[in-house]
Amino acid sequence: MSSTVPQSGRDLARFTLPVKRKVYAYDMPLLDLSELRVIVIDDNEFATILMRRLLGVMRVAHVATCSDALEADAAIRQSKADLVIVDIDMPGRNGIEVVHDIRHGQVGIAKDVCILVASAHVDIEHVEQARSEGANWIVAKPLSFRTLYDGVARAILDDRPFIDSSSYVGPCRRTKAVPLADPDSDRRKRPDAAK
Amino acid sequence: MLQRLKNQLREIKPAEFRRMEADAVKVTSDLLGMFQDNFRRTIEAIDGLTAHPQYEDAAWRGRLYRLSHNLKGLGGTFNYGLVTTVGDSLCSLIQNDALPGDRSLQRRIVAHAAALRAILQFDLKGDGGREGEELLATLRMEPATGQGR
Repeated sequence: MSSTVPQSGRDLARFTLPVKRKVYAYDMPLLDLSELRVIVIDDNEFATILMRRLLGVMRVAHVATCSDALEADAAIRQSKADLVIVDIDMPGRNGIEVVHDIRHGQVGIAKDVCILVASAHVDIEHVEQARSEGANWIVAKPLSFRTLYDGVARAILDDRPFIDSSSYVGPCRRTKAVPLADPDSDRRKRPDAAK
Repeated sequence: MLQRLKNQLREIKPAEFRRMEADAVKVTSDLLGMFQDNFRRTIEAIDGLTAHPQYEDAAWRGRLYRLSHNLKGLGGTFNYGLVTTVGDSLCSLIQNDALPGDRSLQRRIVAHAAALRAILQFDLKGDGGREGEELLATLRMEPATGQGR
């Protein structure tokens, strides 16, 4: 089993981003996304139009779309995306399978690419499936500018260690392992706690 | 995953972000009209198929499935959750292997098409509230009452 799990708080330091990351469940920092490359995989024409427009407003410079999940692998490779936004329910091959294939190196891009699942199916079963296959974040449709931005920011700022094991590939899911008393842990602090 | 994006992200000012939000409203305002046109055309196509049912024909079922699936996605994208719920249920019915010989399933297909028309006619957004609940209840009752065609 190979793993990139940091062994200490010091190892985590190399994941530090130039912008201060906020903890989950609180507001995301407001980011300039003009260097981001995104591909949207959704069989619904309107969903791709909507996301393309919203991402354009966010100034994402490179937005590729793919409406056929069966051809998604080639489109993802070609797009050189930093972030893959994928719908779940698509004919022929659902989004969970796309996530699985990316994480298991069957698509031909880095396994640790950021993945955001955007779906109207956000019941516990689908959320668990997406999480188990290694998605970084899930957003519920219908999408607004704010919900899409929030999902994109959470996915790309996800600084959880990347696990690459025989049983699971994706961001570390062991959130409970962070001790409450750990002064380096910001997971349980409110953003304004330091003020 | 973060290493590739490192140094490519900078924070922007809240005022700039608010401008983006305002721009987003502008660039997506015409989509709702496009959605409603597409919604109407899709329901007409479903009506056309159910008016001349060929339950034994896999191609006919495939066309009906694609239309229902499209509606499902449309509903999810434009806050018509009830369309997604009914579309999802319709997709399940069409995929049922017993459909070609099961009159109860066939009646439910017709009832679902009628429900979609009602959603369009009364513009039931989101889950449709109480009217939405009542509509879904009629779909659940349909096989037992046998009031379908």
